[in-house]
Amino acid sequence: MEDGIARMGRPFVDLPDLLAVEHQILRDHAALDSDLRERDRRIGRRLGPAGDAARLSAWAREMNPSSGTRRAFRAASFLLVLAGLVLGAGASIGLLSLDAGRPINVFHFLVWMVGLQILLLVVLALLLLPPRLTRWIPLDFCHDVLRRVLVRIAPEETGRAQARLARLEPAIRWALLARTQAFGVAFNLGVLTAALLLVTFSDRQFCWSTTLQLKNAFFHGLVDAVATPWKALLPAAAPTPELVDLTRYSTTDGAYLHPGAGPKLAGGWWPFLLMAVAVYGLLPRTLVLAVAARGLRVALTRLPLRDDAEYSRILERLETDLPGFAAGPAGPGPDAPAAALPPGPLPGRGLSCSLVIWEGVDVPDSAIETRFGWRVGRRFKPGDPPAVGEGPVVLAPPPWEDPTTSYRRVVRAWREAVGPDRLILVFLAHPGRRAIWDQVLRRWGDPSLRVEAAG
Amino acid sequence: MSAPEFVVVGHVNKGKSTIVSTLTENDTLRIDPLPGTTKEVQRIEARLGSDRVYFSVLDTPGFQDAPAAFAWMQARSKSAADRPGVVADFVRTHRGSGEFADECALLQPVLDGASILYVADGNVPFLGDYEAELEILRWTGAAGMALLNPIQEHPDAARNTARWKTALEQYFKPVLDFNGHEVGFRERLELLATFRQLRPDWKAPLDEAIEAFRADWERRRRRSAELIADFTAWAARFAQESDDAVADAPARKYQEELRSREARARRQVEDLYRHHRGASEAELVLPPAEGDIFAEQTWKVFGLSPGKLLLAGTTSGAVAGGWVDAHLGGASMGTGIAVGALGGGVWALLQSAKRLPSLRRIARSVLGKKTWSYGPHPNPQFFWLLLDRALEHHRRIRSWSHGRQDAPVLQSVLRGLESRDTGPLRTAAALLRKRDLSPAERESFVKAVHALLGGDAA
Repeated sequence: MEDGIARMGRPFVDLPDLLAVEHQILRDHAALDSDLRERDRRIGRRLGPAGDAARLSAWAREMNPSSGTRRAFRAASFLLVLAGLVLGAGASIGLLSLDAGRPINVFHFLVWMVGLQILLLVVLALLLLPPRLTRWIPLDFCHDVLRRVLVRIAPEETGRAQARLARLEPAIRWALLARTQAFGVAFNLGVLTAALLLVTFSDRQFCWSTTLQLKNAFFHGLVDAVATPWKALLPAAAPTPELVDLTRYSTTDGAYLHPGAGPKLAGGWWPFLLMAVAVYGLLPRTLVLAVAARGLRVALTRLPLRDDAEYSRILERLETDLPGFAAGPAGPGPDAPAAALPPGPLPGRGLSCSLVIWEGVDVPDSAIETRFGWRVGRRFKPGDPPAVGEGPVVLAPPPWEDPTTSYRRVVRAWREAVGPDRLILVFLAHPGRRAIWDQVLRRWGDPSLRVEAAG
Repeated sequence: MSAPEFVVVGHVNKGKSTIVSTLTENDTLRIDPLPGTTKEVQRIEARLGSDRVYFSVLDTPGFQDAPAAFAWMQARSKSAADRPGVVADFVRTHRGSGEFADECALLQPVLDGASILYVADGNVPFLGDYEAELEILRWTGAAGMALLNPIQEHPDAARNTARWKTALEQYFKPVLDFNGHEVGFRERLELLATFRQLRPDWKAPLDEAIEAFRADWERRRRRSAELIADFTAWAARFAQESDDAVADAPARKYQEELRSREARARRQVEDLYRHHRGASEAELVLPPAEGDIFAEQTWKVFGLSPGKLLLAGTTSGAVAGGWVDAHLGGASMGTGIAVGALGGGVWALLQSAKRLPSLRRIARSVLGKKTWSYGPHPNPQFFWLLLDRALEHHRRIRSWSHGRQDAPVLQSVLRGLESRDTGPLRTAAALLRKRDLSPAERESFVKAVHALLGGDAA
């Protein structure tokens, strides 16, 4: 995270971070918005104020603390440079090796080390010619590799991931160009280093030989033209007509054509060859590498972060609180359900009962008589003082009401009046809330208290 | 200035917690049929992040014995001037005594300055006991409003509601009908707007809250459109690959994956609207395929099977490498042949991989084993069916009250979307029959779905 914050001033997200962002977007695809919002807002608060690019970079690193994508990029770049150095040195050693005592053919070296590189540069220049400068760089291979990675990461989202990767094409093209040019620079450095070591620590003889019918003057004109860029500054690195005349070699005869050619003179080609590699190999690759690095930076800087729905959503989650509701502690839960006690038998028919009836409740005497066989001896209001009487006490509260403390107070008053064994029956004119009354009355712990409902 | 506070009070089990759940989009609040479930005041804050509190809603235990409590107060009051003090004395006297615990809990926030939101079941008859509750609240001197929340069925519901209104209007202004089970976002916002009448100094924070919730509602609508569009687009292109062509295995896997992804998309939409009880609906039944949806996969590059392509690539690479070796006079010790063969082989595998979704598939293909594919569904109605189901689900979830204890049951009805003037939808449907959508096409599809989701942010 510190690394991310330290880079706050940077106006772009670099490619490894961008790919890490894309990776995380795929991983988040199935997640709930509320979870993502909580996670990212927490990160956003830690980040503090910063630009969009810096926020995205820091977010990517927070999501992927081991920086796997970045490490993979670094490893790939390092391996490419290493491969360039090794292959360059190997090619240089191969071309500058004496073959069965024969001198080294300058023509071969020029063809492979200069001609081929110039040809590759021409091809690259052609690729860069169209208006969209990077449009024609073949990216199929790169895309395939990325696609394979995405298939592994998010097999369900490959199509979507490919569509998203298309947005990064300009940056990926420049990044690919930069990596290949880094390889080219390393290759040329390998060639030059190996060649310098060879000519310094061993005796190399050079010649030029070709089956083409070339005159010495033509070949001199050719190499002189190749040396044009540096011959004014380094005349010693430009082959003279004498050197060309004296080092022509006959492969058939296995000898120099000019009798005056000697080992000392035959070694005079190497400054030219090294300068040719430096000027036509190393220098252009270095320049293209610089251009590619600049192009990559520009492409990343121009990447519209806020125009992309996914990036925009991440940034919004990082920096914006949403209105919502936070509940405080809920307090203790409901009491445990009371043990179910089987209701005792109802008293026999023919008794006289007391009926306590609440305001708004309509329970005719006949309903009690029909249901329980008890005659209503006397009617009471809830606030009336209880009377002892003889038979059961029937309480008729509003059937839409629940058993509150208010009802319990009435029950207690009657219990005190009639003693612990007399039946007190809560009679509901409607069965809708009977189960609630039943459960609450059990909690009141009165074995002679029960509920019945009409219907 | 402290944030506005609204204390929701009323008789036991008359829908206070339902109102709080609805107002605060919280379907996890404990709502129990047994009286006394809410034993302590629970504060729910409407917030922006961790710092800004717009307002608070306090869920309270209900009045358990208002007549006795009011009798205590009446016995100690000498004039109207001392009534708030008598209510405070009542709370001080009984707090912690075990008597009138619920009354003390609900009155304390009112005494601390909260406004009253009195909730009553307007369907049941108005009784004298309720009048004691109203009197106690009037004695506190706090501003308040009342909500009539119909809960229980009653044959005289209309007459009872009228009587409740007549009674309540003597104590509160305004008195609103507010069915906690039926109200949607618009009604919630309107209620919030009504809160502003209670205290003039609360207008600014409540206006701010209303604006924030309105913007958030629109954000949810937009995000829902993205989720629905993305799922529909994915499903329209989905093909289930399988190594097992026995009986109906690929078709079964196809349907399972489709249902699983649809359920996931729905959970994401429900999460946006803060619903934790998923909607239920009859399982997705696919329309008839009208064609061969089930096909053996045969991949070839340049007319070569993967095995042959591998052989050709390796050989070509080796020949090219050998040519380099020859030009280096053998100094490379055959490295060119090895590197060329390896490079050619890798190239051939990558070419095969372009057509195959996994390394396992490549291996199977090289070994000559068959792979089967089921989908994408060829029926043109498939796209519209999925879209219709998603839209219906969104419609129900968006309007489903958080105070309800049940989950919405959906009924998918094809609403003729295809024939309506939905050009971008038809374009998306046509494109998806051929390929995935580009980012611009997806955006157009999302906008079309967004328009169909309806904007009810009042």
